[in-house]
Amino acid sequence: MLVPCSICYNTLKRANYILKQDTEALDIINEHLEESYDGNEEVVHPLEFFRDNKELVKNNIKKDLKGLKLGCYYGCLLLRPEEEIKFDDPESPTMLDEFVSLIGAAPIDFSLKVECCGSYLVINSPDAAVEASYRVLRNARGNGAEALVTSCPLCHYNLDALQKKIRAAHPGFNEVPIFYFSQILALALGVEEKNLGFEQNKVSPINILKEYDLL
Amino acid sequence: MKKIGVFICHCGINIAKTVDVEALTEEIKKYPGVAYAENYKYMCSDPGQNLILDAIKKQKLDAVVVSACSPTLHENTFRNVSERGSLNRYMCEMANIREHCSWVHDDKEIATKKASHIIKSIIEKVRYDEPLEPIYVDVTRRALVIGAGIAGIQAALDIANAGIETILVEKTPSIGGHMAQLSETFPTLDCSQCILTPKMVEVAQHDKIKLLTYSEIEEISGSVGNFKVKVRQKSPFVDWEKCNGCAECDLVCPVSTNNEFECDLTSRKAIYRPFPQAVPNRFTITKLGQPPCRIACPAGVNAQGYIALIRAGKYKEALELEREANPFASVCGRVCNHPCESDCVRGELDEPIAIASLKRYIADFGSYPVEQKKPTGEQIAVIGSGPAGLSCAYFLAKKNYRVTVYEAEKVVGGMLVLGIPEFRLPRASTKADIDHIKAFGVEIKTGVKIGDKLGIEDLRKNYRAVFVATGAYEEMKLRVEGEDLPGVIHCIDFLKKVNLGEKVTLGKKVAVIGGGNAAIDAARVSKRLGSDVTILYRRSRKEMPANAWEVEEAEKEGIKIEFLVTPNRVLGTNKIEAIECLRMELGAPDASGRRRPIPIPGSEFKIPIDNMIPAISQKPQIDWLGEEFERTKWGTLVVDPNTLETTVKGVYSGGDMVTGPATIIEAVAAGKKAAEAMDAHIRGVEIEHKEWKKARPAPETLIGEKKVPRAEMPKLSIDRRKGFDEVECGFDEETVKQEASRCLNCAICCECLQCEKVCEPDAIDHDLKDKILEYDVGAIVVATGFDIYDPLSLKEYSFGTIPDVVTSLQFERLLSASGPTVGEVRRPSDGRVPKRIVFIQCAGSRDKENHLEYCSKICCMYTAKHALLYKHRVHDGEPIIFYIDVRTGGKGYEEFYNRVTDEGTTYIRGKVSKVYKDNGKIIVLGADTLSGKQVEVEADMVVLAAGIIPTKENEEFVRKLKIQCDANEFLTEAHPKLRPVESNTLGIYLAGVAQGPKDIPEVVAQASGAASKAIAILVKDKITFEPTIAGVDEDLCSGCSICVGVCPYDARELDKEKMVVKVNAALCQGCGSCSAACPSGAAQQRNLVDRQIEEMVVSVLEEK
Repeated sequence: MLVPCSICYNTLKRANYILKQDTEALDIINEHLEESYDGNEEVVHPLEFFRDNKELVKNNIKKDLKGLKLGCYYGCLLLRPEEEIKFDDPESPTMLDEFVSLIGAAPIDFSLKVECCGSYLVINSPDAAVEASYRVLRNARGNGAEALVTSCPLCHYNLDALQKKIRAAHPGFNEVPIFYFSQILALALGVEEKNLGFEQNKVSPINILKEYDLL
Repeated sequence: MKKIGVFICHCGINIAKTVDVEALTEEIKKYPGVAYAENYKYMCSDPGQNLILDAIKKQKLDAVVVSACSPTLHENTFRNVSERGSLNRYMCEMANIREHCSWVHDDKEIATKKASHIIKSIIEKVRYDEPLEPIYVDVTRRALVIGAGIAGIQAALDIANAGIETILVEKTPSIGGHMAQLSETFPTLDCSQCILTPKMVEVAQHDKIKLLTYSEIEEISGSVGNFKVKVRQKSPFVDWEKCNGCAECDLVCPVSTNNEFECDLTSRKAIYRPFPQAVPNRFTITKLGQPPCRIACPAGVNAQGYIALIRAGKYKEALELEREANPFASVCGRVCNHPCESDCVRGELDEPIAIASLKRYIADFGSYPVEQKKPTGEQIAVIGSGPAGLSCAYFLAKKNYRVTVYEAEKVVGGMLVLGIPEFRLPRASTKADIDHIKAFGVEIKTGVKIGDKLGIEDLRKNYRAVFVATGAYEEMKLRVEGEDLPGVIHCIDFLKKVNLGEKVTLGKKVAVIGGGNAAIDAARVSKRLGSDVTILYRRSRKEMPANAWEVEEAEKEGIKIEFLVTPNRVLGTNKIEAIECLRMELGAPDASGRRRPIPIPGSEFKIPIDNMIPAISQKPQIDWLGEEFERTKWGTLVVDPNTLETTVKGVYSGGDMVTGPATIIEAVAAGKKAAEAMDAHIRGVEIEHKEWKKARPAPETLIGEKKVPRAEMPKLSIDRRKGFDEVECGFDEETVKQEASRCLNCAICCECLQCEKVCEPDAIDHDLKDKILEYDVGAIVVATGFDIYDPLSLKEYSFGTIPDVVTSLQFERLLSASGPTVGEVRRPSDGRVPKRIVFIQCAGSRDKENHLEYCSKICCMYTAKHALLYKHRVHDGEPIIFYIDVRTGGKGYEEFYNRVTDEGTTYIRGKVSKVYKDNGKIIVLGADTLSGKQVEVEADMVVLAAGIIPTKENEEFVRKLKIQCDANEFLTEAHPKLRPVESNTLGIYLAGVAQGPKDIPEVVAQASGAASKAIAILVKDKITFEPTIAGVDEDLCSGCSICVGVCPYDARELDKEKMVVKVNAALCQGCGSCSAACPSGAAQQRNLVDRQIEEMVVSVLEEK
């Protein structure tokens, strides 16, 4: 099962982990299902797939990303809890960085790449989410990132849509475009601009991409 | 029938509440064999005991059963009572009706019934008990203390001051342990060294203490009173009787390695003293063996050694060291096939060190005036001035022999000057090495061919010994039709002519046949003479014996290589015009392991050619030697593999003459070997053999090391390679130093012997061996101390990636006046004084999920101390401590903590979640739980109060000593409350942090406690053992010895004469394993024989 959203990936992988360990629970659940589940499905994130099929990705690259500096933001749910997720090293992961290198951009490492963006707090404690996202963006910028890439729609929303509030709270903040990993991959694979969903990005990535002559 | 007395205890309400003791007493009174039964409130009290005593006397009891609590509590009490009543103490047993009955039941009826069964079963047991006598064992009046930190030092001093000889063993070269690393100790802020060194000196000077440092326990056997200990005293390669600690050696040692005492804040030399006040104050060399490069070299050239000297800029010393094993430094620096580089461990990380090219640099660097020596010893003759002959002459001349070398050609050097072209090995380089050899007084006579006027017999008469090394220069023929046509020039002949400056004319197209170094040389020479060259080789590239880098250069120079081709016929009328060739394919491997080339029938094709140079191997010419020189079946000389002596006494042979064409370095090695054998024989001594032990860093240590590419040798560009100018240009000094610094120092000490040269008392001894010492001791104190929990596993704190994140022990070194910053608090990264330091407590401790569950006890106090000392040194400094609790339970500790907070330290209650770098600043992200806020602190430095763990050797000790450790690997005490200094094994006592985290006052108290326990044993002449151990019924024992293997205490041995097993009463712990294993029932535990167990079981199961 290929799951391109960090939150879905986290939930499904952990549920699968429980069902693989606890045969009693699996039996009880199967009693209530029309079709039973044998516990043998694997939950795979596209980044894992790309890591295991590097040649396939490389052979289909149509556009050279010319070393665009992308901060690789992992967030929380993609990595933790370590025992159940086992996606990558939870303190110093490299899978997203390797993916960025693979598609021709330059991965930027920054210390807060595994820190929380604020997640659901955006709903009832938006200030907390604003601060958390601000901290991440500032750290990424400080390390030379021109844009960020992420794999979670909620992280994307917080880091992207909250930038207006961040600027209000921290005057002088320079906006940072946020790519969903599929957007930047599609760009490298030669998909037309109108299909890349950039109208959904609150902070437009058009300028930085034009600077690199990628549009 | 024994008269048994049964005494039932109420234990207040502990038993009486759940067991009807009155009814029970009445029932027991009626039981067969019971002469007397009584119950009482507290049987263990004085009146209770007197009750028993009276009954024993009045009723004339033979045995006593006390039904009460567990025997682990009061068995001794009641057995003592029995003894006072003149009853054998082993006729007294306890029936546990409390822990086994009243404490685990609620129902009085069930409990009483159960108690009845229990008591009855013990009555049955006691019926068959025998009166036993304690076993007496002599005590050896000597103590062993393992570990010489403050715990071991204190214990040793206490025992020695009681007049008892004490052996104190310490694994590092100096005593002192971690306390010696501390700056000041809390709460008094005494200088740690100042209070410790007096004790260290007292230990060193005490006449009752035998101090063995740099030593480890190999083996311990035996039991209390009689332990046998084997101690391995490791070799420091320095004679400590002679060393005076002057430290001259430290200045000249070129190898640096981790400094354990300074916690890697700085490095130390391979020869070192752990700290200036070390006891013993002697130097130690860390030498792990010999590096792989040196072992791979056939001549044993000390590559690591000369590379280390190059790093230190000591080029002359480097060349001297190289020439101890190989006089041909300029030659081998250019054309050696360097097997050392193939084994270089650096090659596993990135690329091997350019060992040969570094050798070239030191050989070329300077011309050192060599004083001409005149040897005066016996005369030796050498035939042949190639590398084998000249090396033999060199090593003999260095031993004062007068050597004369006879060379048939007019030039000196053999293949070095006749075979190898000058663009690879300039004449001047070979001359430099030969001049060096001649300086030792070697005489070379050219133009004299032995076998003409002078024969080998003449040499044997006039010289003490002869070394024959005429090489292998006779060409192998292709044995094809037309091979003798003009225009076919054999390789060796061709190269010799060119090298001697004779004119050789070649046509436009030249074919060289062969795939070895000679073929490549011939091809490259032909190219330079203006021809178009093709090499024809009958196998594929993989099988080519030539050095790969030579083949690469040849191809770069425009030489073509055709693989899987061989000449079939040489065609031409008056001279060669073409070669008819056959194509080949590879079949099964032949004797050399390479796949055999098989001609493809019908594949003939012609190559028009002007000259053909066959270079398909050479063989030695030995026809001029008589029959008395035995030959092998391949036609080479038979020589003794250890001495290289031929079958003719006094005549030795080596090099290509013996092996067939091989390498220069192998020839050098043969010359050296023969020289050593000749010298040993002449002096009538054994040949000295050096023991080699391959040492290298573990592969795991290479992971994460930065990759640095190998220095590239600058070469002449192809268009400038027309003449015979040297192609490789050599490194410059900067490149050489950089390349030398890539060396991993595999063996650490490289035996460069610089230390030996400056040691005035002549204390260095690189051949010093480990010593095994054996001692008999009566008691042992284990004080093996602790290590720091690995801070790399606390990944969130960035230890190892941010250099200014340090451990508490490293911070102690920074505070210490004798530390790497002379007591100034400075950042490791840039040496600046930090203005704000964040201290993180519980780094690794009190973390059940991921790290250590327990509290490391000392960190709260030492962190407070660190903050205070920092503030004293840096007045405007800001210490901030993140904590969970502040634990200050000792005397004066709370007062100290208050002082620290008064003098300006900020305490924030909360854990730190992350330490990271943001825009070059260190950010500490934590929580302040008292205000409920997240806290972000910008720090100049972060100190982790790392948890403490037992030393990793504890695991081994637990096995060797047969004591226990807990889940955290701290040694287990006999009872956590009442017996904290004893292990579960008699005679072995525990002191210090090895038993659990504690601070210095507690360590010292515990050490004295352990010492007193040891003294209690050692002042006795004899000690007693419980006799309730295993015995052997010799009538039933068949000597099958199954029990011997099963015994975990090695207490049983087969008496081969009687064919029965004997028990060592001092070692047997009465575990019962033998009783279970014995098939015949001969092995039984005294007073717990099979009969007794059967009766007890029957009694318990009885329904009534």
